Amino acid sequence: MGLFNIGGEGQLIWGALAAAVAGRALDLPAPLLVPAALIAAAVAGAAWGFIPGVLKMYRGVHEVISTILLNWIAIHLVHGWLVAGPLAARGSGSSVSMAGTDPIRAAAWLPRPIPGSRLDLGLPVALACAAAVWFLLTRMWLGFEWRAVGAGAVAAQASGIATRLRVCQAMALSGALSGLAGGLLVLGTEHRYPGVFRTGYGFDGIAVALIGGATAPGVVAAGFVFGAVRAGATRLQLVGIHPSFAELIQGIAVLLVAAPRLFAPLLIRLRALSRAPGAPP
Amino acid sequence: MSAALSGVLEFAPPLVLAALGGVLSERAGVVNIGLEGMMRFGAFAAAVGAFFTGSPWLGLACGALAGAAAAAAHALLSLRYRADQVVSGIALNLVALGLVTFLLEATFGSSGVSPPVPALPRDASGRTALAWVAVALPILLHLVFARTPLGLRIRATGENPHAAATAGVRVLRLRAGCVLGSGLLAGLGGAALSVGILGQFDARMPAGQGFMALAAMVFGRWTPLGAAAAAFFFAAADAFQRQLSFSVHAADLRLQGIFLALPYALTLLLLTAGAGRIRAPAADGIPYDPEGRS
Repeated sequence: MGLFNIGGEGQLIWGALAAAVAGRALDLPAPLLVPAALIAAAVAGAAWGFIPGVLKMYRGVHEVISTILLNWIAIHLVHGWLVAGPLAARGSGSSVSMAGTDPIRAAAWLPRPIPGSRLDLGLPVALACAAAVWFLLTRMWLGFEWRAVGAGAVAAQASGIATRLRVCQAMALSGALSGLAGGLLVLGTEHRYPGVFRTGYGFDGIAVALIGGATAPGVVAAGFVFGAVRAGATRLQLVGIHPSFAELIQGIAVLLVAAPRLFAPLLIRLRALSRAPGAPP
Repeated sequence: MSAALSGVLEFAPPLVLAALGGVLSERAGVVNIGLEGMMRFGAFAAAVGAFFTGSPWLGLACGALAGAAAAAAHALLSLRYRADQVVSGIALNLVALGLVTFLLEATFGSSGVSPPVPALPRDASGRTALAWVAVALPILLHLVFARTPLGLRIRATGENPHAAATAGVRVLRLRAGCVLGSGLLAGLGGAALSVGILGQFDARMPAGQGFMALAAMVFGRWTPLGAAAAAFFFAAADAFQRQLSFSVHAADLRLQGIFLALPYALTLLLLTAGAGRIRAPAADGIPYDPEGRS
């Protein structure tokens, strides 16, 4: 809706931490614990995403700047203090060792339905979220209002849409999704909040959203491509190609998407070529 | 106290130079989220240049040129092809992250740090010549903006490019020049990190300094003096935090995160408090279409 949420990284960090804490502290059976931890992650991410929305609407602070600042606040508070101090694993001994939190309960682990595969329930959850976002944005009144605000805030306001509320809602939902992503990482892969957790998923998320053209189906497709590039990078390392190529490819992909005009003439020529055989001269 | 002050002058140049780069670009109407990536290219190119030529000064020049080259890509995409300027900047940051990591490995065979390179000479209290550049350049840029025809043209381009074009300003050419200058400054800022402060390149550089420079630019209301003052304030907070982490007991080291987060939280609070009076250049971020009307 015309908002740039650069704060995915910070929202993801709080979501991951919330999932790690909830997955450790709550004593529930697995069918309840996993959803509870994921909800905690989404709420934490939503709260962190809500801040820039409020600051933008009521104080006029540009969301790009505020989300960047909030990223660093989250990184330093969580990595430099919470995970190293109050929430650090007990018995980690030396205060300097960056051990991360205690592991979560086994009941909070995301189930891996296919034996022998590392695929966990994170993928269905992510796909369900994408479907829900698609439905919300294209089929529901609320989504229509969000898109109206993005297309023209003044016109939306004039036609009776509560612009400020809608912006705050959208930022909070965006934060909730980022937080959920962090929760999935903790419950599915890390099984605790690790001492060093510089994932870059938050920034990858921006690239994926841009390449997906900011629509839910596009984002799912771009997400799979990026995931494949990431996974492939680890393999490429075996044959001596540096894994940083994954980031490079992502950056170039965003560059290409950023400038459609760069390729418009090329596309037109390609189309003309493909039509040429059947067409009269 | 004087130790803290010299700490500020030691650590401020990267941030001040990059923040001035942001001001230059955005006053001409081009958003530059890519400062972080330009600093990264600059820091690496400076280390490579200093390593192979043996001269930190040539390294500095390499850094500035690398920053300008990265800015040329941003200018091409956002001016010629009218890409979304925020997206183009984000893409530049991603490319810088991947490409420099790869080049570091390819050049020095290391994924962490480069070998030590010749560093800029320091005076008795640890300052390099760049400290004085960081003091003088904001004043110079302020005078250019306030007192010269060129400065007026740049400001007019950022506020109302169509009016500026009517008055005979070549908007796209001027904007391209400002973006290149912005990259030059950001690259110099990155070079100040590698051949100025550390004496080698670290794979994590510039570790968010480019984003902090953006915050300093907004905080300083897009003015050279304001942005530089904000950058000095951030550097002071950083230097204070460093001193504190040296002096506090090792057991309290886990509180370091709070001190590290403080400058960012303070910036956000100050932005929130003063936001009503902060206004970006009117045409900032809007691609210029010579045939369009506005």
